[in-house]
Amino acid sequence: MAAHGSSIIVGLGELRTSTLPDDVLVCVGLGSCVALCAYDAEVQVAGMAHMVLPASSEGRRVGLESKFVDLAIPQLLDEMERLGALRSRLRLKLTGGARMINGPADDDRQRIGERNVDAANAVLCALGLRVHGDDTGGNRGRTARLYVASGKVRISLIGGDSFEL
Amino acid sequence: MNEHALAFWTEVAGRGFRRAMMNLSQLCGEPINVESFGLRRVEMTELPETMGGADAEAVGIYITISGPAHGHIMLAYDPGMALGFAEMLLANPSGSTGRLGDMERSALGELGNIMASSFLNVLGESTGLRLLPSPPIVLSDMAGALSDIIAADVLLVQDHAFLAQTEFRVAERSMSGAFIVVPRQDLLEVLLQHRSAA
Repeated sequence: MAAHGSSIIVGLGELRTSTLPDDVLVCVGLGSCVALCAYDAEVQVAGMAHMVLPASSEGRRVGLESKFVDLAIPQLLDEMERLGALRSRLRLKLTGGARMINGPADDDRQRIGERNVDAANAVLCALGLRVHGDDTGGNRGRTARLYVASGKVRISLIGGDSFEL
Repeated sequence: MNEHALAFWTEVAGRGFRRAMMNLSQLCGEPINVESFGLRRVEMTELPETMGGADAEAVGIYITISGPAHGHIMLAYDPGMALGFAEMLLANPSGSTGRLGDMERSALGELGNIMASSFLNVLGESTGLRLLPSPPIVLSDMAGALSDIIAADVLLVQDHAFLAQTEFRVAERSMSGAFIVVPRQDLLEVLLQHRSAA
C-alpha cells in the first residue's frame, strides 16, 4: 500500500489495494488482459488485479501467481478482507479482455481475452459474487482507473475517449 | 542462461539485426544507422516499457516465430514514425499521409516481413534450423495492449525473457524504430543445441 496519495500502477500480473482516499489504482494499456476493480464503500477499501491468463492449470506456476485469473481473484479478495472489506459489500467491475488479433474463432491463443473474461466471471460466480459493471471484449486497448475516494472506475481508450463504468 | 549461451545469443542476434538493417536499407534505398543494440533479461511485466510505455500510442508489426521452436518479433513505432516509414516505402511525399490505410498497413507488413525473414535467416544459417515467420500483423493501439499479445504466450511458461532489441534510424530522415525479439525459452535451448550444426 502506498504511503501517500498517488497513482498506483498495477502492472501485468500484479494486484494492489489501497485505503488512501487520494490514491488511484491504474491498469494501463489492457489488451487481452482483464482487470478486476473491487471496492467496499463502507470502509473505503479498493483493490485491483491485472490478470493475464485464465487458469493456473494451463501454465507453469512460476513468479507472479496473480497473473492467473483463478489465483488472482481469491488473493485480491483476501487482501481486501485483511484491510477491513467485506465480500458481501464489494462493488465489482470488470474490464479488458480484448481480442487484439483477428484470426480463427477456435484459436485458443487468439481467444485469450474472451477466455480471461469467462474465467473471471466463473471464479466470481463460484465465490457467490457478481459483477456490477463491465466493459469487456472488442478489439481495442483500455486503461482503467479506480478512484479510492469514490470507488468510481473510469475507462480510457486511445484517442482520448473515456467513460465511467 | 549461462555466460556461454548468452554470448551465442548475443552474437547471432547481432548478426541477425545487421542483416535485417542491411535489407531494410536496400528496400528503402537509404542508409540505416543502428543507434543501439542490446540483449538483456527483462521481466515480462517490463515488456510495455520496451515499446515506449504501456499508455503510449504505438504501431506494432507483429510476427510469430514457429518451426522447431517459438518466439515473437515486434517492430514498434510511434504513429508518426509508422506513417513516415509507410510513405518512404510507398514513395509518397513526406507528410502526405494522414492515417494508416490499407496501403500503408500493407507496406508496413512488408517491412516487417523482410526484417523478420532476414533475422530468422541468420539464425537458420547459424544452426541449420528452419525457423518460420508468420504473416505480419499490423496493429495500432496502446503499447501495453500490443505487448499483451506476447506476454499472454510467454507468461505461460516463464516470467522473463532474454529480449534482443535494436533501435535504428534512417540516416537522411528523422525516423527511427525498435525491433524486438522475444524468444521463448525453448527457442534459446534449440538454438544452442544446434549451434554447430550449420
